[in-house]
Amino acid sequence: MNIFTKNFKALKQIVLYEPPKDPPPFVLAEAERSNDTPAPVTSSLAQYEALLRYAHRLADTIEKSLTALKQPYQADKIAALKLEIAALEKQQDKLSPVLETYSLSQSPANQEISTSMEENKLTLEKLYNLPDNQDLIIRRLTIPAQPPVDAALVFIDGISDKNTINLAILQPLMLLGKRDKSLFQKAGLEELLAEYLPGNQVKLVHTFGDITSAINMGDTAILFDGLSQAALIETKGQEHRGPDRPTLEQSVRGSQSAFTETLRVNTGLVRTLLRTSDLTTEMLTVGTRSNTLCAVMYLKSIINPELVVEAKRRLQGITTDAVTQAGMLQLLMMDQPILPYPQALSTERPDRVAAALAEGRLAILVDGSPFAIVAPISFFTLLHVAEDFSLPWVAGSFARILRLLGTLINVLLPAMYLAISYFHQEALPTDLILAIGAAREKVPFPAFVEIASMEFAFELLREGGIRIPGLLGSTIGIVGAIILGQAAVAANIVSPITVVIIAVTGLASFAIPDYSLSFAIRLTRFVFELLAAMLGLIGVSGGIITIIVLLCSMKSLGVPYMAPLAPKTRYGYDAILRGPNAAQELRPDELSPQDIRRQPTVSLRWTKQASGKKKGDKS
Amino acid sequence: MLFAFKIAIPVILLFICTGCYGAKETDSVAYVIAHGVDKAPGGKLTITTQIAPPAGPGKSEQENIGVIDTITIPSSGQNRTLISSTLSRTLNSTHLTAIIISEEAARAGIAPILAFFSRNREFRDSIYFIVVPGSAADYIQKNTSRLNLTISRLYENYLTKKNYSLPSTLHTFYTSFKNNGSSPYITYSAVNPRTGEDKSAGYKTPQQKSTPYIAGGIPRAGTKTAIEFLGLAVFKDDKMVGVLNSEETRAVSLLRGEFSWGYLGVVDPLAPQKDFISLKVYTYNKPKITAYFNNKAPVFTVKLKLELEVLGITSGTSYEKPEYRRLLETQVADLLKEQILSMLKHTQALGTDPVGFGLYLRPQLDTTAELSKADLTELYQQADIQIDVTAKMRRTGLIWQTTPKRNG
Repeated sequence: MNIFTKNFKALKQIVLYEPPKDPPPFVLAEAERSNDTPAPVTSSLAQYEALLRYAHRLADTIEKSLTALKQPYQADKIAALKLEIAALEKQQDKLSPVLETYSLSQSPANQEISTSMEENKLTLEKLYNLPDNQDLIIRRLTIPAQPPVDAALVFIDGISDKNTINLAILQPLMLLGKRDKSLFQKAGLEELLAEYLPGNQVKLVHTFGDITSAINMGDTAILFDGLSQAALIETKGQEHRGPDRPTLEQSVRGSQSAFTETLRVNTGLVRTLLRTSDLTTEMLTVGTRSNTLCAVMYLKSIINPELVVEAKRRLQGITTDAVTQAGMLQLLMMDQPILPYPQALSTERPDRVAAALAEGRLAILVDGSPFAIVAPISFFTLLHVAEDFSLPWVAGSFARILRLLGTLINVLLPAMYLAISYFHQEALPTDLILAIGAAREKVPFPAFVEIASMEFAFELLREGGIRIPGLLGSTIGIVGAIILGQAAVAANIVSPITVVIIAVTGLASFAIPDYSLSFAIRLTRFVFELLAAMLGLIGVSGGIITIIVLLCSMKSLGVPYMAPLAPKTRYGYDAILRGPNAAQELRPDELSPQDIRRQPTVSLRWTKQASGKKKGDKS
Repeated sequence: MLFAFKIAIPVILLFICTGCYGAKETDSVAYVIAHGVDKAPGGKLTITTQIAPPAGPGKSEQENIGVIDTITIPSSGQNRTLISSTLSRTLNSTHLTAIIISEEAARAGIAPILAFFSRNREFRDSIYFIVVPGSAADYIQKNTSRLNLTISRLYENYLTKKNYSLPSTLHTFYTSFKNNGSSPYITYSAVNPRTGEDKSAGYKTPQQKSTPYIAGGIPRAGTKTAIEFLGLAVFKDDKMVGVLNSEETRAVSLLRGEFSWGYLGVVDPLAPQKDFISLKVYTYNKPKITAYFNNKAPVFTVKLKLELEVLGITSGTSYEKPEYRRLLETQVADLLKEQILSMLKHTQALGTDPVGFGLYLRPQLDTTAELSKADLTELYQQADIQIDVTAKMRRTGLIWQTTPKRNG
């Protein structure tokens, strides 16, 4: 092959291009557009009525046959019965398609447990998509009773404790020894459970629905051949992380433990702080597919019972397929989900939850989420932190005022700068406006573009700082901010005053302790900036009025959001300022707790008692 | 949803209709810092406009001055239009700090200028008025700041002092101009020729060590800052009628209750020829002025209480001792009383009442008809004014008692 042929072939390949003959790549086919309405009822009411009539007739015939069989032989009656049975058979033939449709339309989860082991196995295979699904383990064994019984252990690998299954179920059942009693006798199964199974929670169930909900939680079910009952034994044992230090709500003087992903660990953490029989934990399930366990915790003698009823009503009224996070549940059950302001407190600290419960609030813990939802709350609760109460009241109040000022600066500072530099230049001292003017002299953009671009850069840095893994994140955030600010000023893209304003605003935003509130405040700030750039201080004041109206109209689980200020309620020295711990005698009035008094007027009784030491006694 | 729209539309309309308009970027605005008003031939005015340097205060004095434009026009209002045509930026007078009026223009009457500045929202009430001898344009040119960064701050710092000069703003001038009972006044300032020539002005009392001056007359040389604020231009209606010297200005400040503290040099009462005493003078309280009619002739009594602190005694006499203290206190009281009487005589002759004695006379007139008929300034001119000044030495400085020098 000479050089000409080579070139000719190459040229031919380019000119006469043919796609490679590989199999076509996978492309997800677009689903047929179906109306998002529930499937129409296939069986009509008339068909069900026919089935019902048939059932009544069958019951009648069985009764008649029983009476006829008990009585001495009467040929005419038997013949009549024969005819009737033949007629019934005919009717059954006619109705069998309807019967089939009915049984098919029933979910296997609602199905009763069959006496046939094979039947049960088939149902389980259908329910758990076996053998494709490898999570479900069905362990067959024979119980050495009299007569021996085939049994099957059903559990899910990974969320159940293998040691418990081996030692507390398999070992006792298989090494029963010679049991001369029959399991099929009356109360035979109960005896087996009582005598041989050392599990701490054991119960008998009759439907597959009960079995699936138990084994989805990590329990083990035992099915017996010939019995229409199953035994459920508590063998929960999924891997989980222990309580760790709080990451978002760190404190210097507060407790150093945070919630984990395991619900029972979390409820236990709360109970260690409130060791009272009054603390009630109600369990509910949310999510039709995820079946997520939720715990509603409250102090029964303090909380207003209507709050519990309402919270449970909302939780039970949620129909969604999966709830995987506490934050998701919070949005699903809050009063105004459309507004960005958080209407419940999301906390990872058990001590905060305990304090809230003691005030007459309730907490909702979600399995798999290390955050508790505390409701109802007021706007001011979101500006509190756990260690406020560990500090002297003056210091605690100072910190709260600082946070409130930080919130105001965060909302208003860039907006005020824009409004004043655009419309109200007379409102600044002459030297300051001249300095601002001089700083902006070389910048080619309007002040609004400057602020908007810096805001955008800051938001990018913030988002990036969260996404960049580990220690690198904060470093890149800080370094990025400094370099970006410096470079932007040096390149005359923004003026130093804008960098100062955005930096102060950013700093102030970190003073807001609640993450969701911080987000909401940032969104509000952008709206205020727009209003200020378009309408000046009138726009800003209009925005402030709108926000106040909005906040005052909001509710958190039915409790006014701006209480105790609007509406004015009895002040318990724990909203904007914090009174001394001993002076906080009342629980929040807006929660209408059953017991409003937290402590007596003189809570420090030791101050009124003699010290037991005589005057002048130096020993 | 419809309800929400019904609410939202009026609210949005309200905002759009009442919102602020006319946004201006800082780099499209020129901030006027000072206006100079001079009289020009043919009834015209020469308006000088000083604009702050847009790039901020520079390093050289010339950079700090900013842009100065002088235009001769028939009215103040037209100046804005004409000067706008010379500038790329929009003129903004919200930060106007001072209006400098030439003595010639002030003597001709400043009501036409006032009419323009008092009606326009853009001019603040706190704009300072300054009267200068000679040309206002020249004054602005020569007013360069050395210690201060911006011209506006320069004026503000100068005009907070209430001792040998008294600040006068658009507001104070306008209220006393429109009110019956007091006469307006304006701070007097001038460019010093800096030749070292001593141009003392006015009467000096026997107790007084220092000489009275008016702006431009201080014997100074070599200093860089050319301007000085000293004295008070006094007005009858809108026309300037004369200038009070530094000591008279202080007398006005004392009687108006604006004087807080200041330094004073008096002749040593025991050695009047060679020695003198330096003092710090404080006011004990605001002066108590009472007015009444004695057979239709108005009589004012003024009680002024002062406190003294000794700064230096050249003779070494122990004025801290009770027997000498009285001597010194009387010396100070007599000095200030003489100065006040001198000021009163001067202003009564000029027919102007910068202290506002007429205001104290108003309660003595029983009806509004009488009040509106009465010319309070004229009554002030005829008034018998009795001054009672008392001074008490409260502090003697760091020395409690002076001991004679020990020999051996």
